[in-house]
Amino acid sequence: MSTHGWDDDDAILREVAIALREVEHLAEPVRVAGEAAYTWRGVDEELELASLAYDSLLDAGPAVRAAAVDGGRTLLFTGPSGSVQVEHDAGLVVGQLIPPGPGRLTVQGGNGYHAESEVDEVGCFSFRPPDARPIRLRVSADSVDLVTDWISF
Amino acid sequence: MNETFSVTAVVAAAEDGDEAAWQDIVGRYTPLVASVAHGFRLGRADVDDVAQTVWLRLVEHLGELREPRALPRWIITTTRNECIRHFNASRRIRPVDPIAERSAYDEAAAGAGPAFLGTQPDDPDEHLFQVARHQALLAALAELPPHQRDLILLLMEDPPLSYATISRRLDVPIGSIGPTRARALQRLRECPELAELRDSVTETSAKGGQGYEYTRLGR
Repeated sequence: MSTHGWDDDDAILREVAIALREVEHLAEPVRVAGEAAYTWRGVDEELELASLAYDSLLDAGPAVRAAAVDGGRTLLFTGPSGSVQVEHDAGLVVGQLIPPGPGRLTVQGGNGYHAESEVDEVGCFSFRPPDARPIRLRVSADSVDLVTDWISF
Repeated sequence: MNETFSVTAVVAAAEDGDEAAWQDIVGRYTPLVASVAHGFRLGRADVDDVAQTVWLRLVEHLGELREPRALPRWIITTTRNECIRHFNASRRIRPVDPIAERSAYDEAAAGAGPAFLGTQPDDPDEHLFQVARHQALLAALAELPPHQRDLILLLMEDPPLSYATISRRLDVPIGSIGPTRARALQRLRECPELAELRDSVTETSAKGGQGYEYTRLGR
């Protein structure tokens, strides 16, 4: 593929330079975000991590996307012994904990935002997501203790 | 001089609480995260959100990235998915014509970002290929041993630095610069990311097809 400069040292150097220069204006904010992120290491590490398993916003192809726009956004976080399903619509997030059980929900923002609310006896909760993004959900309930992946609403 | 750089060792150190190792990862992979986000033409605020989400999530998932190729793949996939979320979310606030926007969406999902939103080469295939190749090169650059990566970054300076200046900055003999440069470029050329891309191009060319298979990168 000599037309794409695979074999030419100067051509590869030039291309690396172009690739770097193209993203120069984004490098600083990306790096700053990365440096700050490590302060979250080990926070709540005793809790199990519920990883993002489904997001209607990501799953949606062009056709499904129209439905997602109409009906809000659905997300599912799953962990070893519990999961959390949430729906985000019209500025409100409504969710349910599985297995169900009463407890406390903490909404944590990457920038230090912190808000608490109740999880009711059937595992349901709701909150208004802050402007600050991303956030994650920390659940401390009778049935399960977990913290979700970071996500932007 | 350390001739090797092990992504897995740095990932393991960062997971064990070595903050310098984490900052090394951030420094090395920032251009790759930025490159994926750049392909989606996101605004500055969205890029901030995407970057924060990717890095914060990486902190939690370091323990799962023990394979040598796992980190670059994870970074590309996670950044791309976050960009698609923002790309789709921005569609929620205005009407969408799914047919008209289909190609831009499909291209974004395929991994290159909505090329049609900016000024690009006339040939969309060529543009897609260029985006994929840039990401492969930046992933490869991130995995170079420190002295090779430092040299390549200095060789990128504009206006170009003399070998004498580079020799002073890196504290290495002038005579070592040429050979180090050659070894670094050899390593870039042989990196698995670029090899995969080259193979996929060769395969599709052999079949006479025009469409490159981009989705292999980062999966």
